Amino acid sequence: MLRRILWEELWDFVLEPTDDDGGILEMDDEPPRSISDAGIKDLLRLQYGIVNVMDVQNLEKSQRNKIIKELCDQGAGFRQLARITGISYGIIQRVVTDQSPLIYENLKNVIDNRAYDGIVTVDGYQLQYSIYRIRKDLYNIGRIHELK
Amino acid sequence: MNNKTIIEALKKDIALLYMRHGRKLNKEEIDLIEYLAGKANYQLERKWYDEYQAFPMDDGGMGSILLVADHLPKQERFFKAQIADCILHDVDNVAIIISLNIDQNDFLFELDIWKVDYSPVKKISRLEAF
Repeated sequence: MLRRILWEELWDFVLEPTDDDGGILEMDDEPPRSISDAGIKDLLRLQYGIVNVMDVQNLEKSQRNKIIKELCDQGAGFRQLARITGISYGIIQRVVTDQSPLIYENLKNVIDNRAYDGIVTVDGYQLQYSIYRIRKDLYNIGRIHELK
Repeated sequence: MNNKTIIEALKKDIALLYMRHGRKLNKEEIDLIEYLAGKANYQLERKWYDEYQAFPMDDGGMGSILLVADHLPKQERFFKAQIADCILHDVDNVAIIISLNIDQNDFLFELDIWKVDYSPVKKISRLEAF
């Protein structure tokens, strides 16, 4: 039966938290949360004009992923976000953690005073991005666009 | 919430409200777009800017705009390519990368302004200097 399920769906299924942990010990790889549910709702409303948090899951994927990353940067936990937004835990975890190593590999290609353009695949979507070296060991990523 | 927080929240609400309304392009934006279009050999009509409206994007005060013209096909528009870019500097000497993007039908799509430390743009150095 499992062979009939897409790998991504299986991954989400395995990582989806249950309502009741049932006393099972669980390894947790997410950073401790440092923003309240109300804080997340305020951020969504003020920064993105999103009043209903459940609307995040219906956004265009690159925008949705950008918001997920921003919220996690602000201290939101993966499970907390999953509970509030209805987006699966697995998706949130992948968005935040999975692609970084691919981008880090390109840091060596960045030349001073020039943007390095790269392409990365997130959730099956191709994203174009640029890296710019601000100073030694400090880089920023911008100009992110989905390629269709 | 203290006063500062309230003022910041109001400023963001106003920015969001403003973002939903188009305006005419200003002189700096027209100059930048014409410079980048020329760099890419992208043909612009005479007085092209009269047909376009600028929709400021919620980019934290860097100044990116979405470009919309009445004559565009009524369909969802999406990014196709970045046709030209240049690097200027803000008065605080932080680099600003400015890109001209076109949509799937090769119409002007965005003037993307990325101050590389993501702080708001104060004043971009003049184009003539580059």
